[in-house]
Parts: sequence; C-alpha cells; structure tokens
Amino acid sequence: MILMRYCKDGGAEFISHLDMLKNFGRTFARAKIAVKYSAGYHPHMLVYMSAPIGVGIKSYSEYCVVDTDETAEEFKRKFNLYSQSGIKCTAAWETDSKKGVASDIVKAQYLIKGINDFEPKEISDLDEFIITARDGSEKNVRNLIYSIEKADGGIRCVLGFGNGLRVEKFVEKLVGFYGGDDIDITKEEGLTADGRPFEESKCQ
Amino acid sequence: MELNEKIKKILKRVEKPARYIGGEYGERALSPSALNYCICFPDVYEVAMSNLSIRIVSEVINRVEGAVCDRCFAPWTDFGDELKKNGVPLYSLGMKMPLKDFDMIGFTLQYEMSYTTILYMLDLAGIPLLRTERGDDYPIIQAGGPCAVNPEPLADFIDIFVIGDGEESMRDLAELKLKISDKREFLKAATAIQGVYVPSLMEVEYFPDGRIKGFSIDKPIKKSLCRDLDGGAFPEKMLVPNVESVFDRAVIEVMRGCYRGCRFCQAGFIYRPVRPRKPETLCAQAVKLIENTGFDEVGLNSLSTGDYPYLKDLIKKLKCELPKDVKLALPSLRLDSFDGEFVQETKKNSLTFAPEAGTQRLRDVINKDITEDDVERGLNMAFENGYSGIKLYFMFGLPTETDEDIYGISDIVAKIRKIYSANKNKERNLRISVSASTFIPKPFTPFQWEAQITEEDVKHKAGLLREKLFYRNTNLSWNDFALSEIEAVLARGDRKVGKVLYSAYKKGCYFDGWSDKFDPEKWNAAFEENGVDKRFYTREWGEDEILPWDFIDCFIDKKFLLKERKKAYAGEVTGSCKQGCKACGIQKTFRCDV
Repeated sequence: MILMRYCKDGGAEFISHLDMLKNFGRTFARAKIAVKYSAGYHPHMLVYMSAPIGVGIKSYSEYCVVDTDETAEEFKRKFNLYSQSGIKCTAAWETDSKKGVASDIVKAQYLIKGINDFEPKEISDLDEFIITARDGSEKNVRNLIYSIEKADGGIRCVLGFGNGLRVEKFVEKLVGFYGGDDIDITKEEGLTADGRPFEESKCQ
Repeated sequence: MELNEKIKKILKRVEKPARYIGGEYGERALSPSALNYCICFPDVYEVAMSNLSIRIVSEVINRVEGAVCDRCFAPWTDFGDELKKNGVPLYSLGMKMPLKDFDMIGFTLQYEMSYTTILYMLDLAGIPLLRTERGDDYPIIQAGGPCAVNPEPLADFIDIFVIGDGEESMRDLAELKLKISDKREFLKAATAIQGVYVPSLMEVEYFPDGRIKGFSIDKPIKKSLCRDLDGGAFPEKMLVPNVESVFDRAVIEVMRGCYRGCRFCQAGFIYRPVRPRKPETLCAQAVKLIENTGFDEVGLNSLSTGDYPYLKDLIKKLKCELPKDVKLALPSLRLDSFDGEFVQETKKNSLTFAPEAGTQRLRDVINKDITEDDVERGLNMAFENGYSGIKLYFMFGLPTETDEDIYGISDIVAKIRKIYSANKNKERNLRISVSASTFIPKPFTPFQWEAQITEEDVKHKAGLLREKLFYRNTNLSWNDFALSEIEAVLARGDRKVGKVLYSAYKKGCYFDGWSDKFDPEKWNAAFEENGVDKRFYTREWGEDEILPWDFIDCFIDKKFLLKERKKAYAGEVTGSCKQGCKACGIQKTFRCDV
C-alpha cells in the first residue's frame, strides 16, 4: 500500500471530493498504477481518502491510501506524470495499513484571508461559538476551536476536522462578526488528536 | 492559463464551480495564434463534455497551421448572473480569453431548444446578438451541426453556417480565414466552400400569406460531405471532465449515417450516406483514447450500432486489445439487432428500446422495420441475460395514428410482462417505463410536410394510455406539449421566427431544454408580440410549397421524400439500404457501401 500526500490548488480546489475520487481512478489507469480491487459484487478500487474538504478550499495536506504494490518513489513519479493540473503528489510512503487517513486526522490548521481585521483573542475568550448546522440546528463548537492567531496577512487557526465543524461555517460566522470579502481558505496541515502533523506521527 | 482573481471570487459563490475552471487532463497548452477560434456548446459543461462533434471540430481546427481552437460552454444561470453582475465577459476555458477577443466563434446546433442559449452566451460575452449590429471589431459567428440543415430561424444572428460534415469544411474555412482578414471579403469568399451558407448574401421573398415565394440564390447550397470518414480527423486525445458528465466514457464513432430510413428521423436522412469505419481504425482509436484518458468504458457510437457491418469483428478486436477491465457500451441498439453477444457490459438491469409506435401497421407507416417477432426475440435475449428493467420510447401523433395504435402500446407492455414471466422471472420484479414524446415533423424527412398534433390530441392519447397501462411497476410519462410545439416551430421555421427567438430571449428564455427553465408563457408572449402564429409552422405544408430549407441540398431527392410519404400513407415499408439501394438520391454523389 502507498500513503500519499497531495495538494489541491491552481483551480483544482473547485473540484468536489466525489469527482476527485473518480479522477484519481482515471489517473491511476493512465499512469498504469495497478490498484487492487475489492472482491465484492461491484468491485471498486481500494483507495481510501481523508475526510472531504469544502469545494473552493485549497489544501497542501490531503492524504490518500492506495492499495498497490508500487514503490513509493515510482508511485509518486507516475502519479505526477499523469495527474491533472492542480493535483500533485508531494510525498509518498510505503505502508501496510490504511493508517487512519479518514479517522486519525481530527484537527486541521488553516490560513484564512479576507476577514476584516480583528483581535483573535476575542474569539479564544468566548465561552461558546454557535454555528447553524445544515439541518438548521444550532451547535456550540467552541471546543473545536483549538487556536487562533494573526499570521501571514490573515489568521491561522487550528480547528476540529471531520467531526462536526466545517471551516466554511466558522468563517461565515467570523464574517458575520467582523465583515470581510474575497475569503480565501487554505488547509495547511492535517493534525492528529495530539496536535502533531499527521505525517509526523504516522508516516515516518 | 490562470483564472483571474475576479473569476476566482465568483467561483466561490456558485454551484459546481469546476465547470468553469478548465485545466482538465488532456487539455492542450493553448496560446493565442494567427487565427483564434472558439467552439461553443449552448448547454452546460456536463452535456457539452459528452459531445463528440465539438471534439472533432477542435481537432480539425487545431491541425490547421496558425490556428488554435479553444472551447466555451453555457454557464448555468448562477454563474451567468455573477458574470453579468461583476462585469466579467464570458471567457473560454482553455486560454481564459474573453469570447469577443476571438476571430471566430462556432456554435454547434444539436437541438432546436438550445437556440436561445446561443443568444444568452453571446450576450454574456458582450457581443451584439444581431449580425447587422456587429461591426468588424466583433468575431465572426459561425454555426453548424444537425439543426443547421434548416438554418433560417438563426439567420438574423449567425454570420456563416457550415452545413453537413465538419471534417473538410471547417478545415477549409479556417485556412481561408487565415488568408482573408476582412470580414465581408471573407464571408463572400467562404461561399466557395461546400456546405457554407452566408445568410447576409441571400434574400428571401414571401407571399402576403407568409409562405415563401423564392430565394435570391441561383443554385442550392450543397452540404459538406466527408467522403473518407475512416481517414477523417478524429481526436485520439480527449479531455477528462472535472465534473461527472452525462456520458463519462471514451467514444468512438463506428459509422456515420444509418441504413434504416425511419420516416420521422431527421438524422437518418441528413447523415446519409452510411460510412462505416474500419474495425482496425476504430480499435486503434479506442486503445489510444483509453490510454490517454483512463476511462473504463468505451462507447461505440452511431445512429444504429447494431447495424454496423463489422460489429462482431470489432467487439472481438476491442476485447482483445483493450485492458480487460474496460467495458463496452453500445448506446444505439435496435430491438432486431439485439444479440446476446452485443449485450451491454456496463448495466445489467435496464435496457432501452424504441419501438416508436404501438402497432405493426403504424410501424410500417414510419418504416420502423421491426416486427412483433423481433420484439419477442430481443426481449427474450434481454431477460435471459438478466435484465429486469425495460424503458420504451414511443411517439404520439405520428401520421395516420388512431386510438388503436395507442392501445397497441399497452399491448406491447402486456406482451413484455408475459415474456418476462415465461422466462421464469417473477413478474413483480419487472420494471417498465413507457415514455411518449410528441411527434415533431423535421426537415429533410418524408414527414417534413406533416402537421403536428394539437395539445388536445396529446391529452386524449395520453388519457387513453393511462387508462390502459394500469400495471404494477409500470410508469408512463410524456413530453410537455408546449415544448414540443416550440421545437416544431423552430425546426421548420423561416427567418420570421428569428424575431420571436430574439424577443423570447429578451424576456428571459434560455436553457429552454431544461424543463424547470422552460417558460411557455414568455414564448407565447414573444410569438404574439411579433405577430407570428405557431400554427402556421405546425400545420400541414403543401407539397408544392417552397419550404424554408429548400435552398439546402442534402443530396436526398425531394421526389424520393414525396414517394416515401405516399408509401407511408399506403402502409408500405421501404426497408433498410442493406436490402438494396432505395435510390434516395445520395447514390448520385457517393458510392454507398451496402
């Protein structure tokens, strides 16, 4: 098996998670990367992806496990040769398990630009941070906001990932508080529960 | 090329933004050249990316030295509104260049109800809709495709039409444009290319009652014909869509034209003669396409793939040469060509057949050369192969149709259920979907003179069928009459209809092919405003009348079409070209391979 880290930018951030999965299958076929298939009634490629990010969010820290016998080096070379623009494998490791790409990445570090200037402390001092979920219910997600600071012309924050807080909802709320325009969100790093980068704890 | 910041900002606010970013795998690195051509498809990305003709045109243009072909599809309303609001002109997907900066823009006319979407795209591009309002600073607007055989409804908007196959005509047109930059001079010179029609160089004279008196050209415009399809341009690379498209697969065109001659079918006549490609050529194309795209399915496209003379050989070759996990899809099978060996590999539960008419009598009238035995044999084969869903297409309002023919549809459904049970299947597991559309008389068919039925007729026929089709798991649906009526007007329209199109667009009609966007009220207001009566176009036309498309020569003799019409009324079948030449007229131009 191969664990790959890839980035999604240059326009590719607008491709949805499901379309990405489909495109991956085609990239592997073009690159002649022999991916193993499930043995069920409807066989499918054994590819495991990290939890989806919203359409329009750039990411330099997406992970995917591919069940193949390729070497990491060969996999990365072939993938990048045949991948579409904006999707690039930045690292690959040989592994013998799924590595919990979907379950172990529970936090993510984002760089958010475009929100009008504000003092991050105002957010970290809050006791509750209410967002409206898709079903219309209100939810306090303060415990999923781990850090927030000013950095690189925007704010850098660590939020819960894949566990009830979508960064778009968080940003929507901040824009509601402080105003903003032309919001740009970049997922910089996927983190495990202890706050370490996923690959630091899982890929060495 | 990069998306500019303004566009990126808009993309964050719209549905399926990946439709508008380009950069698909397989996209050529394009840069502005001596001739910048943009092929436009007047529908959304998912539909456009499934279309083969625009890929062929792109291939043809890109092979011309000094020319570059980019592409642009109709943005959905959310993105279109944002473009307008933000003052961003509609741009091409490859170079991200505003449409109005191209030298020539080509629209493909696949469906009459997409005409207003052409106006929508021109409007979003900041290009005046009427050709008389476009000076030399604007690109030349060209159109082609199957609906171009009657170009007249679009004559006010399009500078130049290419009628017939695009392989040679589009190449010649691009080469000519590279030589002549002056718009007027170019349009005049282009008429020397076979298949080219320039509306500004032809006047139409009308009788006071609205019928056509004559055209101001000496000889008819002959359609362009690709004589060597096997050696014709075919794209061995295709873009892999960013968004799931209608047909997400590689496509080869096994043949152009159809042997059958169903009397209602426009494609069956305008794409004549039948030109099959060699199995070796097709196999090599399929292998290349799969290698270049990574698709896991190849579509064997044509008007009737079961009639492709070397089908067994081709399938054998493809199975041998393609990776073993690549499936074959045969999208256009007739009941009588349905064979165990050709059974679709991709879907194992539902099959679509088009008997078109409920009784043998009416099927003979339309020359749909299918017998009850063919139906039975095809269905037995399907059920033996595990299919449990059947989708059936019929038409309401075919010439000579009676209530008996409508009841015949119900008899077919009953028969299917019986055959299913006889194949040791539980009847309750069978799903049948019956879909009926309203017959639309189309140019260059033996039924081009026929009247279209009225809304009351449709209601009556649908009512009869609904009463009869009371079976478990059997679903009946029929087309919106208002949509079919406007399609009929546009299909047989003359230049006067152009004014209606203009008004309809100005009232907000576009994406008319999408049922939730189609607004008959606005269309009716547009007809009224321009004093144009729909019934003038949906009536029965006189056989001695000059038809709006009579100045176009598709190589099918009008006498042959009239003879076919008479045979239809006599219930006589002409049959397939495979049973011998029927002397439709094309044989005078092309030696048919039958």
